[in-house]
Amino acid sequence: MKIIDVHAHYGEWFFPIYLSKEQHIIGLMDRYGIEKAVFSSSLAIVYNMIEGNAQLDGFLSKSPRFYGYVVLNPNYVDLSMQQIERYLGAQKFLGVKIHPDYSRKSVSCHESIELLEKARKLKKVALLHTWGDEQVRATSTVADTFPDLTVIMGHMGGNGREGVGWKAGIEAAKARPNLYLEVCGSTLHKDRIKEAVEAVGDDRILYGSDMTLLNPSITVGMIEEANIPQSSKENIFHRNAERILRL
Amino acid sequence: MPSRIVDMNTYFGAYPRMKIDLSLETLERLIEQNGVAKVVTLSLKGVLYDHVEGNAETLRKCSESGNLIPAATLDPRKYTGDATDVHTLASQGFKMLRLFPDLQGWPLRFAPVRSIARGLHKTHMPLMVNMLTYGSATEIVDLVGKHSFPLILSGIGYWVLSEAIVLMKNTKNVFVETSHLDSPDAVETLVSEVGADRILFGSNAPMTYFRGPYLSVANADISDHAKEMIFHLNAEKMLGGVND
Repeated sequence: MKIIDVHAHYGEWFFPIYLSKEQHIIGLMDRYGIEKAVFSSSLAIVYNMIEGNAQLDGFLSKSPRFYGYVVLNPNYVDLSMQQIERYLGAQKFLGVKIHPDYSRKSVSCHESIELLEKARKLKKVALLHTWGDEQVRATSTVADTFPDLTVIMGHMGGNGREGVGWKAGIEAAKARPNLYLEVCGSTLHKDRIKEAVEAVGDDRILYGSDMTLLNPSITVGMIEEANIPQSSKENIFHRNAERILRL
Repeated sequence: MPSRIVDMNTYFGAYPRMKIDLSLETLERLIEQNGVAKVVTLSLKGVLYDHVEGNAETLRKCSESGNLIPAATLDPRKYTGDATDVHTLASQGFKMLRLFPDLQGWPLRFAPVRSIARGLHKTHMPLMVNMLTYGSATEIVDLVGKHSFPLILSGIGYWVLSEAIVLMKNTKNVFVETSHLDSPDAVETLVSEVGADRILFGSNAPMTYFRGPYLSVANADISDHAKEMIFHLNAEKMLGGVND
């Protein structure tokens, strides 16, 4: 089955992961049937937004299967605005990404809101890393602030072995038609996809792998195993992404 | 497709901390759907309520099914240091002991764990321990790695993979199971750094999806023989007497 991956990364990691070259990434995509993927730069997220976004821009030109998010850092509003101006007009950049854990700024702080307003005006999507109840509330605030912005809740609210942020994520998405749930994570509790489809519907759930940090096997296996109709799996794997990203 | 799968990390029972179906029927359905030959399993009653009652339930359920291999657990919050407890568990037919600091909240540097390890040393029963965070694997290996019984680290993900590799290089009786090996080349990296004979297939089912960890090994860029080792040969060698 065709797969569009809306949550991928390009770059190195401070973990023993050795897949930062284009050929490694293409190999990984082929292994799991990922036709296209939308990347953000790990360098931009964890260290230097400007250097990372520039590196990603070069990477995207290597394959028609690669698309990108511009990483924004709400600690640097002016520079982030410049990044939007520089990249977001390009066809290959489909949206913006904010990761509050590394910037230590909430996605709903006034600086983030200012940046997201710009993305909204350009009719681009926003992928927001969301992990735990507090970040679910922040991402929900963004969705409420901009009803015409497509907000992708990364990790569908996340949390690992004990946490249930994803349950809060599902609750948040139920009431917000512009809020989409992206499914990746490390510890994926059984039935999370079935619960999401039953609560939100299968047209607002998006496949994401978090490669190259995470193995697409984890999320491909989860969707394959999920006790939902085949048509719902197709929506999650590619149709919803094709629609909202106009791919 | 491996010729056989032995899953080292499963459990069954109730779970009060979220709504999720962890019933034995669900586990058995997963075994059948995925062509798993054997699972090492235990009742969560022993983890979340009382290890004596839980172990009794594990033994009872495993005696009713040829697919289930019993793992015992001891709760260090209750364990007062009689090493004969471990001998008793071995004589009852348990093939592995599991400890759950993540679910029970005790620190790894905890006197009852030392005492449990002394009991394991005499029986040579494998010990599987769930990891908590950075340093958990280091602490448990410091605490019990000097003994010769197999120590299986469970819950090793990308964030502690380097820690596990360094420990495994320095301590020959340390193994990992696969349920949380979530980075794209984790299996390949482990095989190349420490060898396929130190990796055991575990899914963490039915708490989490079975198919993810399965695909991580099945699709890894390693030899077919290495996959057979991970999927069943290593487990069969470690547990002994679990073939049909």
